[in-house]
Amino acid sequence: MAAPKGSAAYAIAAVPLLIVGSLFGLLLMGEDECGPSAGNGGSSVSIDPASVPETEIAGYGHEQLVNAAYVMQAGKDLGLNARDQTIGVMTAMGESSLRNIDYGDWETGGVTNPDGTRTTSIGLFQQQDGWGTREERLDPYISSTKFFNAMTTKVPDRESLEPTIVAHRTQVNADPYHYTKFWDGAVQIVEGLSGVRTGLDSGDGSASGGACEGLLPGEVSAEGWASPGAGPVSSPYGIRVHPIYGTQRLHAGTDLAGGGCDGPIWAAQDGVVTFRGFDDAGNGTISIDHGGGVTTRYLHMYDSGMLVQTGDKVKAGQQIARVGSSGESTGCHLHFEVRVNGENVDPAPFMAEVGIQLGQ
Amino acid sequence: MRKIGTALLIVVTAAALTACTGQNNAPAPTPSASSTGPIYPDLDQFTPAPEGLIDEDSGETHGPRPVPTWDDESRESATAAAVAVMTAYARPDLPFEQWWAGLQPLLDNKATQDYAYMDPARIVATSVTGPAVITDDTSAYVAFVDVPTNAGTYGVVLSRADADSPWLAGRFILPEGVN
Repeated sequence: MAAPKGSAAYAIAAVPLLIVGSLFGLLLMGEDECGPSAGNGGSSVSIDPASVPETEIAGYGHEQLVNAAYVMQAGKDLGLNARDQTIGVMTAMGESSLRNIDYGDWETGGVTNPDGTRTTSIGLFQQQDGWGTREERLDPYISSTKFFNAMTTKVPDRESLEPTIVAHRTQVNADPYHYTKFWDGAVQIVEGLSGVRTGLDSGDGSASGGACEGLLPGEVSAEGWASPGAGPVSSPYGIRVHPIYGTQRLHAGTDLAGGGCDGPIWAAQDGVVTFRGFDDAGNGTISIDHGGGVTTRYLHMYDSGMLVQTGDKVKAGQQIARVGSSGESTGCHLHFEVRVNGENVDPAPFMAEVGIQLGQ
Repeated sequence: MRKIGTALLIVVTAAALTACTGQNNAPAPTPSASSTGPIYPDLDQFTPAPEGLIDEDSGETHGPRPVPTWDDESRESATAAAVAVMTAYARPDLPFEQWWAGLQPLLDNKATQDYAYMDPARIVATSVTGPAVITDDTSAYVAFVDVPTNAGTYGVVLSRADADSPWLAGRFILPEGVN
């Protein structure tokens, strides 16, 4: 524990060590900055490109990290928040691996535009002629500024969109989901360089992946099933008679408070996501096929709160969504349905049979 | 006949899903669960919702929804749908409005949001060059299909609401190196 007195002098002599040491110091200091204000990307983070340490983050070396620092600096100077800055770094990772490439795809592979002209994309963001002069596109700071200006113009609603979708709408590349795999590394780089914990979740590339608490696993019963959300039950399954018209309607699921807005929603059982989107009444809906003729459905999430995609394989107790209030809903809650062979059944006795008391 | 086929397939599907238990990225399930796999209750004990009632949330009318199975008809419809949607997608020669008019009806809700900002000119595939192959049939509601094109093999993720509903595409998975 007690360091020998001489160690301080030794550390001063070892300059690279000192830089790395101060980086970790900043990282530790940043731990306390996580709070409600840090959600949604918080305020700008900064690092002087000239002070980037000789280190490696997420597999990216010094040259690439300096370029990331220019991206972050350009975002900061435009008054953008940490989430926007991280989207910039992610996009440059997906375009150029954070290398300031000064030759185009035409020079390397003879790639042409659809009209037959030579492609001219260069620089961190692989910008073509239309984005600016060659010098501008090869200046990491200027090309980043051009990217961010295009992003803020083209994607005004970006806070409610997945980072990869924001990047796609700005770049108009061929695959809307191309940048998803770079989000994890981008968060690591931005936090590692700035020494600030942004509140962004490196493992959650959804639009709502900015909350300080990350994804939570649910509890799985001895029977292998999980509660879909926290209680209490606010409205059970059953037939309702309209108070004025006397008509009958079916409340086809169990309503759970779910921990309120943004509370975790868990897959009740292993399965395959068969639907993720909105029904005709505007209810944000996820459906999961568990096999054996059993499917479950989860309603009222916002688009940003749906964390899985159609075709994803999920596990019992995996967090798949955040509680919302879309569609036929007057306040944040989870509407949970169980279907057996295509028909709705009361979820409460079904789940009780597999060791889950809904609402508790 | 059909009922028996359905029952058999359900058992097979359940077994397939059960076999997956214990794979990675499970969020720390309790030890008792990982060793045995999930237990399914006897499904006959649950009373289905009466037919004809209006759903309070969706406004739809309740009734039996035909449960899909992986019979020959399903496989043929899935590969045909994959080729159709890939053919509509692989038209970089079209202006956006025309491209979108042909493609959008074949997309699901999420893909309709996400592909609406594409520039079709960026698409490198222009033709389907061989038969489509189903690569993942874990769920009879979801099909992963590979479609060979002149620019490499694209993956298409399809889903359907029930056995009578059309397959809709949720995602195009581009060949390695294409963006």
